[in-house]
Amino acid sequence: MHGRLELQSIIVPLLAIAIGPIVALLTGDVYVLHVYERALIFAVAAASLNLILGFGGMVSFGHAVFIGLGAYVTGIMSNADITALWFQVPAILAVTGIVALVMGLIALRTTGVYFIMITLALAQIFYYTAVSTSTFGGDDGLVIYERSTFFGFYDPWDSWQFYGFIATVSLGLIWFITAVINSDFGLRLLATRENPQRSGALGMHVLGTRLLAFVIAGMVCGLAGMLLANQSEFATPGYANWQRSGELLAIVILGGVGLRMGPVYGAFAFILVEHTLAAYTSHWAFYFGPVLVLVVLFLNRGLGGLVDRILHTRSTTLPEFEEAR
Amino acid sequence: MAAPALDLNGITVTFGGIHALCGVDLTLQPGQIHALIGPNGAGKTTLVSVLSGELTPDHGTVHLAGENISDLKPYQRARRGLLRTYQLTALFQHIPLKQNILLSLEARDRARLSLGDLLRFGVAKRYEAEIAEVLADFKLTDKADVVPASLSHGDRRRLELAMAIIANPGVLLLDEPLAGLSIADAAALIEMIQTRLRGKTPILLIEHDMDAVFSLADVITVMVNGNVLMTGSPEDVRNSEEVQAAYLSDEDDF
Repeated sequence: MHGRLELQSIIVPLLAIAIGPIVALLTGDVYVLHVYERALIFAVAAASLNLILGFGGMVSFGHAVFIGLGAYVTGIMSNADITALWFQVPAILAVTGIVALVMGLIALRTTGVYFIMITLALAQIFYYTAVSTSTFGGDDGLVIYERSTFFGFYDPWDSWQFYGFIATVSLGLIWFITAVINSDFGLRLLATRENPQRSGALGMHVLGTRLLAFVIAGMVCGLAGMLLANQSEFATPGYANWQRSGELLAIVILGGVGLRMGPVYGAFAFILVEHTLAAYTSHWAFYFGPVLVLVVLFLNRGLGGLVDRILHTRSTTLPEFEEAR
Repeated sequence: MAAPALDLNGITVTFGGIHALCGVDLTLQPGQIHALIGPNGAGKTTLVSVLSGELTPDHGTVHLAGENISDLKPYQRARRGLLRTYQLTALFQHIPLKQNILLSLEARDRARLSLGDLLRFGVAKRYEAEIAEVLADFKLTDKADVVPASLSHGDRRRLELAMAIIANPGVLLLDEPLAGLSIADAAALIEMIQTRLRGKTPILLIEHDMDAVFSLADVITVMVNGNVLMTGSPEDVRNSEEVQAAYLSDEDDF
């Protein structure tokens, strides 16, 4: 049905996990793996946001709350010596799933700018709770002493093996989001974005469809938080604040809203630019801002759109741009 | 006698101080095409929105095949077989045609959202043959991958009707299906309604094209200012002086 597009969805994530080790081997610098780990983690988080933003039309300005939740659940459990993913992952899915369900039930009663503000407000509740709860480090955050383990299958303190862990989970989650988009449910989600009234008139449960997408996105983003907690060995309220949510939005927009692989392009561009500029100045965002503005103004459908144009592929439909065609 | 396909009792709707519908009664018998005519502002589309559940009336009840559906939401009514089309076509503008049709076929099969849907990728494949058939039937085959946003008005109207027909509704509400169509396109659509729906699907038809109304309808209800002026056979309506008076005062609508 989508031809070369499907190929892109398979190959791009594989390339994304391969590029880090290649660079590390070429430069002989293992530290560089950390940068690519972060890029993959943000690709996962942005992919989950893209599911609800690009395909469900829900502009969530509080999506980073799930990174924070995932990171804190991981950190608290690891520090209590419960490092097995076998226990951590279900706990993260349960916590983020329940929070997403409640948040969705409240926020999805609204649309448009009200939805943006309500998701922002609800996420800030978690942020300020975390800041003021001294048990878990409060404002200073929570230092995590143990990384997650999986039946001793890999050594989390070996740079290469740890990268393998991050890469495997990221790859699985990015493909999972793509699969959801391509499924029958994905089509229904797109339909509720396109025409909620007609969707209802055809017997679809619009709120239910949106809510399910919101919960899936929250849970996947929670797992991205688990990865980030392991990677940085740290959980801080800052993971969940509105700037982080804004960054996720910026990544999705940079990569191309509603393009399956947009978040991967966006996250790699974002993290690599951040990493490069940060070497020269701590005010890197000052230079990054104009880049984002230029991309939005001149790159129709972000970096993903640029890739499509170069490869002559056509990714999924998106209203604003389809009409201009 | 079987319960009416659709039975409305005392439907009243007010917008602000304006009475859009004042206690409208209407009965749609199984297998009948029942036209609803009247000058602009008579409350026809308001009535359709009440029936589909998109608008909650101040008073009155709606029964679908004997079941009281007054308190049901639009998607619940749709799942019971009550489908509507829209005066301004309401398609999934940026989803390719064949997937518009897929969504409609799913509605026919009352496919409900389940967690299993997440793992269903074969859906489009399972319906592939049927989608191709529908596209051919409605002369849209060459536009299977086109999005409705870039279709001509005539094609959009045809797709709108196709999506309603293939969903195999128990009752169909057609809100001005011929609006803005050329004579040839309108004739083709009338033909489609005659061959595919007549005698099978009870239809409530709102239409301004009187030739179409008189050629299609078994029963006609005339509405003026939110009130039912009369209900009768096309013959009765044509000869009614009351109706002529109502329309003559607002002749531009013809």
